[in-house]
Amino acid sequence: MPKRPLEGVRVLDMTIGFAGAFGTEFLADLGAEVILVESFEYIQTIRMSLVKTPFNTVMRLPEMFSKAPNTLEEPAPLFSRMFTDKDCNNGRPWDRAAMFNRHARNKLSCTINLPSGKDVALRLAAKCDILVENNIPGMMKKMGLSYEDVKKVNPEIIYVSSPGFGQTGPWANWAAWAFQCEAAIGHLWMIGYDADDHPLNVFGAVHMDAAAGSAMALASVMALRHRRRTGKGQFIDMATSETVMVQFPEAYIDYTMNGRVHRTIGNRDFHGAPSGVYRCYGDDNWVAITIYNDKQWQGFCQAIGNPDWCQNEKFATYEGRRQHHDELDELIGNWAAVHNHYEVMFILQKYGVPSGPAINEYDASHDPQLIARDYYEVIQHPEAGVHMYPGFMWKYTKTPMYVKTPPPGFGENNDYVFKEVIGMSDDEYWDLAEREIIGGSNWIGDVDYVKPQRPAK
Amino acid sequence: MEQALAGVKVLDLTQMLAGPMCTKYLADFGADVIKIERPPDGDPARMLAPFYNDEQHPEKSGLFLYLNANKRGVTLNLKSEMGKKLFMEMVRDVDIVVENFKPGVMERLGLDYETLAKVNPRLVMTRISNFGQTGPYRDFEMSELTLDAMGHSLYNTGISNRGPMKQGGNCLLYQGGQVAALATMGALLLSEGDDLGQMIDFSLYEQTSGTCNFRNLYVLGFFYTGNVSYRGHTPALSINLLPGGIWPCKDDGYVHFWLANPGANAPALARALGEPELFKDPRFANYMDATHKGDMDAIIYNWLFQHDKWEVVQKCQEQHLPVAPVLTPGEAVDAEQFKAREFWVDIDHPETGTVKTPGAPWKMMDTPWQVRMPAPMLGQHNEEVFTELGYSTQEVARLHQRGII
Repeated sequence: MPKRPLEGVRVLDMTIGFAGAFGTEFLADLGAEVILVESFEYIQTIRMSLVKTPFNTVMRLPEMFSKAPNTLEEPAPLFSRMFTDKDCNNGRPWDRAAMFNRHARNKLSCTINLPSGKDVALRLAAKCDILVENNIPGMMKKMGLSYEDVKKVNPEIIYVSSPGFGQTGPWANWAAWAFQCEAAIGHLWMIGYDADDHPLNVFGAVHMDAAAGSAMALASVMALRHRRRTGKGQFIDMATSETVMVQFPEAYIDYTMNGRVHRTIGNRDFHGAPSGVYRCYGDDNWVAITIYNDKQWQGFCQAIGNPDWCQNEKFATYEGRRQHHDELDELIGNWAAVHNHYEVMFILQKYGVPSGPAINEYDASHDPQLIARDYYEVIQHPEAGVHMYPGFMWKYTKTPMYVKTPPPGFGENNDYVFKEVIGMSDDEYWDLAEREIIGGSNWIGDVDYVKPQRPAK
Repeated sequence: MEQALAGVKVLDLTQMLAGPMCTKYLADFGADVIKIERPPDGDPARMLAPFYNDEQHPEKSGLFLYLNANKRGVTLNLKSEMGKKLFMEMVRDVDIVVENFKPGVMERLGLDYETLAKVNPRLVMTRISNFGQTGPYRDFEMSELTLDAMGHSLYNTGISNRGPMKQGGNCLLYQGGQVAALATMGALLLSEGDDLGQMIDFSLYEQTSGTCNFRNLYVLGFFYTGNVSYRGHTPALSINLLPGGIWPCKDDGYVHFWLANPGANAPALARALGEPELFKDPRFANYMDATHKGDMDAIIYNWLFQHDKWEVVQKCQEQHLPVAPVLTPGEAVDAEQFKAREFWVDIDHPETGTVKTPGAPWKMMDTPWQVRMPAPMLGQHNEEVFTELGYSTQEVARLHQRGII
C-alpha cells in the first residue's frame, strides 16, 4: 500500500462525543496511529450508540439507561449493568456499538482509569505528536493532563483543546453539547417552518459535530506542517462554537453591515428563488428544488413542458420570483405532486436545475451515485460481524485511504500501547492492571468473568 | 509570527461558496492564494447578498469580501491560448491548484491533471465537485437545499405531519470547503515531504453523507438491523423525566436543555431549581420513569417563567448543566463571549469601509490566524502577479487590452 500523509504520526485521542470521534477519524484515515484512551468505569457514550443485540436489533441510549437502576441513591450506573444478561452473554456489547465502529476504524484502543492512571497517560502523551481533547472545561486539568502538564514531558506536543466555548471569555466554563453551541450562535434560530413560529424543536441532525470534528483534524494537520518545518509544537485554543460560526457568514454580516437580524426562512434560499421542498407522489416522498438564476428558471420551465403560468412576466426575474414565492410554491407543488421524487430529479437535472429527493437511510444506502463510487466500506469485525459502513469522504488518486485495521475492541491494543509504546515491563503492566489503574486487557468494571489473570511465573 | 502555511502557494480557480471557503482556510492561515477570475464579470459570488447598504455592486458583497479576504486576485481568460499559456506558467511554481468547475470543464480547457503534472510533478490538484468526477450523477446541479435533501438530514428534520426542513444558511456547502481544505493539506504533506503530487476527487455529496452525524446514525442503524427512521424522531431530546430541547422563558426568550447524562444531571437540576429534595418525591424517584413527566414539566415551566433566559442559563451552568440560551444571529454577534475572545474582526475595504466579519475558526498560539489584506477587487493584482511571472508592465497592459486578463 502506498504511504499515507500522516504515517509515523502518533495521536493521543482523549475526545468524547461524536465531534471528537469525527476529528480523530480523519487523522486515522490519513495514516496516523491514533490511540484512543478509554476509561473502564465511565464509558463514553459513543460506545453505547446503537448497540447490536443478539436478536438483530439495536439498543439506543434511553433503553440502556432504563435497564440500569437510575435513582439518586445510585447515580452513575456502571456501563456493564446497562446490559441484561442475555445481551452480555452473547459476546461483548460495547464492541457492537455501530456508531463507535463507524468512527474507530484504523484507531487503537487502550484502557486507563483516570485520574488514578494519570501518570500512565502522561507517559503515553510523552510518546505522542498530537493530543486532541474536547472534554468539559477543566476536566483535563483535573486529571493532570492539561497543556502545561503535558508540555513538561513533551515540549513539542501539538495540543488541540476543543470545549464548547474555548479557553477564555465569560462562557469559558460552560458545559455544552453540540446543541448548546448551535443555540448560542444563532443557528437554531434560523431553522423552522415560519418566521413567526416557535423555534423548531425536532432535528434530524446537528451541524456542529461535523464542523468541529473536521476543524480538529484540519488544525492538527496545519500545526503538524509547522512542526515539520520548525520542530515546534503548540497549543490550539478551539471553541467548537466558533468552528461553526465561520460557516454562517450571511447571517452575521447582514447584521453587522445592515443591522438585519436573520430569522428562519424555512426551505427558502438566501441567494435564489424559488427554493422549496415539495410533496411528491407516494408515501411521504418529497423533492427539494432550488432555482438560483434566470438560466435555471428557463431550464425549469422547459423541463416541465412550458405551462402557461411559466410565461407570466412576473416570474421572469429573480426579484419577481422572490416576490411571488408563495404563488410559485403552490404551482410547483401541484406539478411535483403527480411525480415520484426521483422522477422529478431526473426530469429537472436534465435541464440543469438543482433538485434532489429528500431521502432516508434506506435510499441513501442504495444510492446509485454512492454505490458507483464505492463509497461504502465493508468491514468485518469479530464481535459485530460483517457490515457496510460509511466510507472515506474524498478520493486521493495516488495514496487512497483504506481500512487498515477494523475498529478496535475495548482495550484491544493494551499490550501494544503499554508494553511497546510506553515500554512497561510485564511486571509493571500486571501490577497496574491488578490495581485497576490500567485495563488488564479487555474487561469492564464489575464484569469480572472476563478479567484476565496475571500469567503464572 | 510566521503562519502555519507560510510559503504555500495556491492557484484558486474556484467560485461561489464551497470552493472559496476551502481556499479561505488556506489563505487565512498563511498560504499565498491567487484567485483567478474570469473576465469581465469575475466570480458570480460578487453579486451575492448581503450587500453593503443593500447596494448590488460587484465590490460590495459582504459575503464575497468575507470568503476572499487574504487572497490576491487576477483575471484570466482560460479559453484563450495566451490565457492557458499564462496559467501553465503559474502552475509551474505553485504547490496547490483548487478548482470547482463542473466535471469535464478542466479537460475541455486542456488543463486536466496530467497536463498540469507534466510541468509540476509535485502539484496537488483539488477538484471539488457536486457529486464527484465519476458516477451517474456526475453532471447534476446542486444547491444547499438539495445537498441537505440527499446527503444530510432534511428528511428527518421537522414535524411528522408537516414537510422536511433544512438546516440554517449554507453551512453544508461551507463545511464541504473545510473538509476539502483538510484533504488538500493531507496531500500537501506528501507533496512537501515526498515530492508526491496527486489529484483529489472531492465530492460535496460524499462529504456531507460522511460527516452528517445523524445521517451516519440512521444509516448505521439500517445496516445493523434493517430499521429505518422517521421524521419527528429526535433521539434523546427528552429521553427521561428531565427537560430536553428548546423551552420558553420569562422574557420571550428560549433556552436549550440537553441532559443526556441523567445520573449527574438530575441532582444538578434539582440544585439549580433551588429544590434539592425534588427527586426525593416518590413521583420522580426514578428519573428514567416518565409516568409523571407532566408533573415534572409543570415544575420546570413554572420555574422558567420566573426567570429570563440569562438567569436560567446562569443558574444551570453554575451546576454544570449543559443549558444555553437560544440566541438570534444578532444576539450572537453582540454576545460578550465572542467579543471577549476577539472572534469578530474588522476588515478594511476600499469600497465598503470597515466590515465586521467572523474571524478565526480556532486560535493557533504560535502560528496565528490573520487578516493580511481585504478581498481583491476584480483584477486588482494583475500587474503584481504577472510581473512576478516575468512580464513587463507594458505587456500586462497589452494582455488587458486583448481581453486575456
